[in-house]
Amino acid sequence: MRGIFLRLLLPFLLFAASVPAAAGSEHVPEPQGYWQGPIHGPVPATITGGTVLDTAVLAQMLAGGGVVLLDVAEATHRPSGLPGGTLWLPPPHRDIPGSVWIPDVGRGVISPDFAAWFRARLAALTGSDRDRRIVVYCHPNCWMSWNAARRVINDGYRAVFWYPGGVEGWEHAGHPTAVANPEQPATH
Amino acid sequence: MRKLLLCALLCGSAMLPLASAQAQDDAAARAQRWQALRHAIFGNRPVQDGRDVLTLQAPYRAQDAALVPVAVIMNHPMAVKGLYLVIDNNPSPLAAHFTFGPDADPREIRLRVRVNDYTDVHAVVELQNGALYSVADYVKAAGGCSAPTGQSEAEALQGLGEMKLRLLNAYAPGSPLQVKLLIRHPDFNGMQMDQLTRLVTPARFIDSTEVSYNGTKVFHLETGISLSSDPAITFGFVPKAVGELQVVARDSDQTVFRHDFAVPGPSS
Amino acid sequence: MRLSQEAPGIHIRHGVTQDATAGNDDAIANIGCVIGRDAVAVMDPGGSLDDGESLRRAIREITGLPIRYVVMSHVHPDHVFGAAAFLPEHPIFVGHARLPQALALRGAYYRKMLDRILGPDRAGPVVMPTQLVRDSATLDLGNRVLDLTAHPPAHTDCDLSVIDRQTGTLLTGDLLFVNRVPSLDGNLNGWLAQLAAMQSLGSRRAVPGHGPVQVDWPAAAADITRYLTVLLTETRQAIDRNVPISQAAYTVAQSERSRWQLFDAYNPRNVTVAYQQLEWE
Repeated sequence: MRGIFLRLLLPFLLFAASVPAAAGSEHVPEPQGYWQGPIHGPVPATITGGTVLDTAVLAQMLAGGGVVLLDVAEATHRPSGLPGGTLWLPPPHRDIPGSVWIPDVGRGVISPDFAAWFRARLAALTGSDRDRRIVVYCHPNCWMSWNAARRVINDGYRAVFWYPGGVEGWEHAGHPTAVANPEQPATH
Repeated sequence: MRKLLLCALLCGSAMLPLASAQAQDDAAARAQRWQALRHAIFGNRPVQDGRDVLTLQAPYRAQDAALVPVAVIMNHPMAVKGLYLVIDNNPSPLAAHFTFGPDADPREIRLRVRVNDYTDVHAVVELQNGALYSVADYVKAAGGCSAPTGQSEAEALQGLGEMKLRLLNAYAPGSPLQVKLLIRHPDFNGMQMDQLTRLVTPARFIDSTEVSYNGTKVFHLETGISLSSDPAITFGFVPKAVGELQVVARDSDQTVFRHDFAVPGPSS
Repeated sequence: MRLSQEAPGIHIRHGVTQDATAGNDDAIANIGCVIGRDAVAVMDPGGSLDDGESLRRAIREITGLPIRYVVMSHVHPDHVFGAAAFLPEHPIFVGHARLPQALALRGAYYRKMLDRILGPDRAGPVVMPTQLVRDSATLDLGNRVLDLTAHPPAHTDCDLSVIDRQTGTLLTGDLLFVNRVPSLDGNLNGWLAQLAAMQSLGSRRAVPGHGPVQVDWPAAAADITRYLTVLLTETRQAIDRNVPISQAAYTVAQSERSRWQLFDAYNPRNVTVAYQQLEWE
């Protein structure tokens, strides 16, 4: 069983990643639609309809204000097999201060209800201003933020930025992080 | 080869901890976290400062976050009912809960635990009169829960439930005897992913261990995924006569492992 | 990158005796290549994408021959995270039969940690070996044969060593450390056994995984054998004397402290690993 997986996944693992100057690889093509494959792995170097940011540019942009920061990192899930009564209290997720954290909105497929909720949430955050700058991020080598950024672009926003460096890239550059609280629709 | 030391062993690279250290050092955040855990575990019961009552020994900077040795030592003999070990910043923070029987000697307890991030560790003793006393120590380690296992699931399950007992001092009837109990079990925490199959090894861990001597309870121990694999538990009891130490351990798959050890006979 | 020719056709880059930092690109292991008449074999592709890329360029300055093989001596990142830099050469990646499992279990974790140290995305992706060695194998570089041995658990559970038949040079991977304190991530008894077995192979010179790029063999085995033996003996003693593992980590093998670089960073961990292996004896 393990051998079969090894053969199937080898082509994926042998993607020739060029030496990247920034996160993302020129050899990973943008998918049509949303990425449906494994969440963690090499990501593209571009996002059509949006702009890729590095840490320095993001820091400058945030210093100027008026930016919606959208964190779409996964939330920690309770392991299956943990008995019901066990105390499960994952320590808080940290992200770029001032962010809105919406886990799961970067998945390949999301329910129509969730998508509608997300569009309403974006409208509230931007005051329905389609030119309001929105920065989407999660972790390095994670497709969630790419997918989520594409969703935001498809929703008609014209100033969408993707920050592939993620929380780790932000921290590595010495910037502070803050505790985040996840948001989700009530029925999600 | 039973186990690989992963947290930072790269033969060449002492890896920095996985988590962001900055926040975990914040005293206010730590205090807040402990308040939340205290209430979750003890409800409204007061927990008093236990510095005169017990001592917690933990390495300040752990060598291996998946195996952090911790010792809880009572400062004076007291009528102890139970002991809690809490690793504040672990996702499953209650690492161990002992309840002691009449022949237990809870003066020195040692365990090995996983530490997921820089954290306070709290030891809370519960006296027979219900009073709770706690002490804390700060441990710098990270990645103990998320670090991958060094073996495949099949390899890790070899020898499941084997046990060994070492006597740490000489037996004398009516005198306290310290022993170390070893149990073979991978204690899968359900958070370790095989990167190739992308399957998470399901949680399977020792959740209860009952130790008795000649039929009388020494302790009942409840543990979770914060306990290291291949648990090594050092504890004491007072044997009144020669006899048998009986161990019954159960894991979260409901598999039961039993072993009886002759005391003072040869440990095996 | 400076490659020095340690034997005819064997070129090695010395790894600095440091831990991985953003400044050293994790170039902390001895890596290099063997050049045959028709092809080249890389002997450990390096510690990061940049390190691997530097090695590749350095090889290209010496020869235009195709890089047919990239030998991955074991799972540790300072030896194999440069592999992705060689993908454009389309080599065969050669590893111990247990290497894929080791990489599957640890590779992403290592990558995440290296990304933190080196900076996002400088670690590079994990590359799996495509030719696996179960006991032994030979690689032919054109009138130059390399003999590979897959060892039972020693330094790790997936160690490969290589002998160049032409010069008799033994490339040990991390089965041999010189000057830098060895790190135990496999089996202590096994490592001592493999070191003993390797001494009767007839090689007169060796390239260790860490330390000077060339040493006399088997003379260079003496120090590491002594250290591992002291580790074994004193850990057993500590267990017999009921010294708890946390204390043993700081009392065992202290006589070796002044003889090894980075001793305080690695010896306590070595003791902890050894203790867990030996307490079941």
